[in-house]
Amino acid sequence: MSKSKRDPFERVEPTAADLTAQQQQTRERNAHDRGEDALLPLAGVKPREQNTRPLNAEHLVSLAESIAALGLIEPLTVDSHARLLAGGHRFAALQLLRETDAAKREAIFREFIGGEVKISRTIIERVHALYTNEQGEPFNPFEKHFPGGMVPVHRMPFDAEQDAARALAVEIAENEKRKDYTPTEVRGFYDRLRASGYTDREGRPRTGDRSARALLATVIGKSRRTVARLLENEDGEEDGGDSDNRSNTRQNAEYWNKRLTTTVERWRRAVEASHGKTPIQGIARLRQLAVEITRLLNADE
Amino acid sequence: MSQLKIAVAARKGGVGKTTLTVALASIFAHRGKRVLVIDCDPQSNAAFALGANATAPGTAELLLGEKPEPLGTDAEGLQVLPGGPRLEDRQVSRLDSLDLSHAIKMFPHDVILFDCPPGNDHLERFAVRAANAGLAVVDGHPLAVLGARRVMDDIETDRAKGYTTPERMALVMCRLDQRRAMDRDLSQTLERSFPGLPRFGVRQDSKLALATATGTPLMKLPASQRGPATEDIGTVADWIGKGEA
Repeated sequence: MSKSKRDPFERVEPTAADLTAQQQQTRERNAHDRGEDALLPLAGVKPREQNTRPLNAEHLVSLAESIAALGLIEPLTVDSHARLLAGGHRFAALQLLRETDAAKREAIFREFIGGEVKISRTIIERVHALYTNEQGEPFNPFEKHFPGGMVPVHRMPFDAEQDAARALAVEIAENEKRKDYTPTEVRGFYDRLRASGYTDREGRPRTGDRSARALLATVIGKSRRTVARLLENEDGEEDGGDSDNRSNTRQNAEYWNKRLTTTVERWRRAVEASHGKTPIQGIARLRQLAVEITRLLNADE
Repeated sequence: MSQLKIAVAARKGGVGKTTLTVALASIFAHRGKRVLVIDCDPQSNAAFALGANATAPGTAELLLGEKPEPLGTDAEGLQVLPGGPRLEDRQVSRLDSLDLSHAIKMFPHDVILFDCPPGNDHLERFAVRAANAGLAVVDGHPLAVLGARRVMDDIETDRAKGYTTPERMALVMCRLDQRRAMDRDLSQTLERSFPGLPRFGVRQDSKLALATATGTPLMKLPASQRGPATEDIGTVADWIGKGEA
């Protein structure tokens, strides 16, 4: 049967249906992908309506200080209509930082933590000091980190009003999720804080101190002890005797064991998902090895 | 013998890029070459026009590091890599414009023809930067000349920056109908706009449209059913073939 005898239009409908389906998939993937690198004007981010629980004063002011020093490391999470899904403290800290007038800033602060709560004078002083650098000169941390009022957001492709359950799931997941910073990353933050005048003193911080370690604990969401351990790991050799060194090495090894396990597992899953189309020679052998590596890493000695 | 890699671009839609591309492909295959058509158009018309499955994995998958199999056609030695909506994936939009030129190194064909999409200069650029010759396709309308101007300007900008660009470019005037005043004047117009650039005319030919409609490679039509455009496109193929030496 010659093709030219066929109805030239008979292939149109099935081809169009398949192309439309592929286009839809691509659109969905792209919509999901768009969340990664968006900037939005802070004024355009809408706060959660139902969530008016008072915020913790110490946490809020520490967060504002960390953002003033380092910028916003974890973006706010918003829905497709720029409604806040997760990051209530970060959002409040940004509102604080945006206010140039100290008295108005204090009023905003008091509103966020609930009018009834008594706040220590030290904390109020820290709220006032947000617009002062280490040299005592005035500076505008908001303008410095967010030119034009644009803040980084992670955008989720759904409408929180239409899908309240998903909004709640995101809020919970976001609160449980804390990025595991590597010792090198933590050291990087620490160096930046020290460079902008934060101190590092043994023992309890004194009044008026801007402690780099305390702020780091807020930034990465870990305890002071964890911060200390991560900083030690980064410059392990400098920090004293043999026993210390051994424990540092061990902690490093544990850390890298964990990273290796995760990476190997992710690699293996990616290879499975690509249906054997991975452009690596000897992929079958590598897959066997991946399973073996995971088993050995998880085996007790 | 060096591989011939030809980008067929216009920027404007509907001037005959795909028709010209698949006709050229069929002519080269008929001359005994191993030919691959790489469709860079999300509309995925080239595979359709060659009677192959337009929705099979193709150029997008190639760009994203997979190994899609070129599809066979009714013509011996003529294969096609379909385009498709996945070319609009954000992952593709993040790629470097040279990525297609690296990815096609796996293909042993004598001739590779890139069918560029209308409008989308990002996808067009993959093809232009992979090609060693380029055809800017126009018809007898100012909007088509505007599109060709933009194709040529982009290449000129790249050349000025020291990027690799096609060694040879030519203009192909498609669907020419001497009854239309703008078609009669087109060649002169192009000489003013692109002085010295080689020009080829392809006459309006309903047989050409019928071949793509039925998914038949042009040269698989009996000689008696081929129209005047076959000869015209053969002349374009001759010019392209000169790059072989």
